[in-house]
Amino acid sequence: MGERALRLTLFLSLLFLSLVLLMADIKGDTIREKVPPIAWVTGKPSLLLGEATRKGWLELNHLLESIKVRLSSGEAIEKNLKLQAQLRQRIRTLERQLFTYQEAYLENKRLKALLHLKNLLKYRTVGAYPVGGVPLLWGRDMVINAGRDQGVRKGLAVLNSSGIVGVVIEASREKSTVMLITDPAFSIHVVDKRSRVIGVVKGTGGPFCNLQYVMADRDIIPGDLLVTSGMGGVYPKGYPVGTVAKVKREPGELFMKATVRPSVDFSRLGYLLVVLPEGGTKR
Amino acid sequence: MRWKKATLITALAIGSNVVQGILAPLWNYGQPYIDLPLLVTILYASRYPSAEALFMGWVTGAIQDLTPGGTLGVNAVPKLVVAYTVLTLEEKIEIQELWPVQMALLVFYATLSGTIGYLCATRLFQREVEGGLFSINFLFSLLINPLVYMVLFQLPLRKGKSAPLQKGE
Repeated sequence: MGERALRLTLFLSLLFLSLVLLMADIKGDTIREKVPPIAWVTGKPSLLLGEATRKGWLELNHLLESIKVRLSSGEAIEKNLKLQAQLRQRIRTLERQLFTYQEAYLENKRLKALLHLKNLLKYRTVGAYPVGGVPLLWGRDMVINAGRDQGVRKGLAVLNSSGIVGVVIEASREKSTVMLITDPAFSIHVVDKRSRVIGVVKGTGGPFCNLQYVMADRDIIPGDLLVTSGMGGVYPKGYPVGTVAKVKREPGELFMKATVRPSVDFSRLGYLLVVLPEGGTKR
Repeated sequence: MRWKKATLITALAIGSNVVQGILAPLWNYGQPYIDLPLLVTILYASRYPSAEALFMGWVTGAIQDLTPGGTLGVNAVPKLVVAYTVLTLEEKIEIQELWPVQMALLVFYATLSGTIGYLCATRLFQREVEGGLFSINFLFSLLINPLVYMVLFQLPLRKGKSAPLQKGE
């Protein structure tokens, strides 16, 4: 048999065999089960290897995906940090603005109170604020930014919306020195707003003042508000000076001993008014 | 030398299917993108144009059919036909001396005929096959198989042509 005939015979035989197998497989014959070694050798390893490859491929995909996610999250972190820095800067700016607005609000409030006070007072006044020697706890004097040019002169009363602050003891062209009511040299004639008992409040050099020259049997109790009596014409009448903090009556003593807490908080002094004499400049 | 050929045929038939099984998940498991057993059949038939090539092609296709989900014969027949076609061509022309483009066309034709045979067999026996002759998978196979054949077999062999395989060895 020639090579060509051999090929043709083999071809036709295999073709026939294939068709038989095809028919048998289609009909549901268990040819695969009849040739388990072949199926095992070819099917299982390729299936297992295929599965392993598929898993490996999936793992690789997961890895690439996670790298992508990490890269993108890195970018996101960088963006967030940038945004955070911008927001911090913005917060600082807003805080500064808020501080400014708060200051303006408080100033406005103080000015309103002062304006109210100014309208209440029958006297001409000039506005000022402390520029030096500001007492934090208890000082004896301070400097304000109003002087002779504004009509301020020695002996004028200085007050704020809370009460009497002190008296001008020295005045230059643009500045003045004010003796506070806590100064031992300071004294002011007062009246108890409740009982109308009169007395003199005198500074001690400390945070409190003393009420002097009040008879021991007079009606003075802690909590009483002491206001200016208006005597002497320096201080406006009925203006708060302080509150009675403690009263002490000792047997045999003619006068009582009373401690007075000033109405003004000297650690929080803001705008002030200097009460001008009649005919002074109004500022 | 017969045992050597038998070993080679067995190794190629099983090896190509195993590699096919390994690589299959890379291009959607079960889809005939790159038909490595077909390429090996063409290679063997062109290098060793003898009756064994028919047997080799048939065995390779049969093994491919034995993998789970296959139908016996649907791959064996096309590969047998391809092997026979290559042998017939070999009688008329020197396949090994073909230009790469001609070789690519041969693989294209083989893939096409294999695909048609596969589709005929499955349709004839009412087995479900995804897509059809003009599905993207089969069209892609027509393009990718010649390319892979060129890259894997033709170009390396042409490069090392100083020591070519002996015909019929």
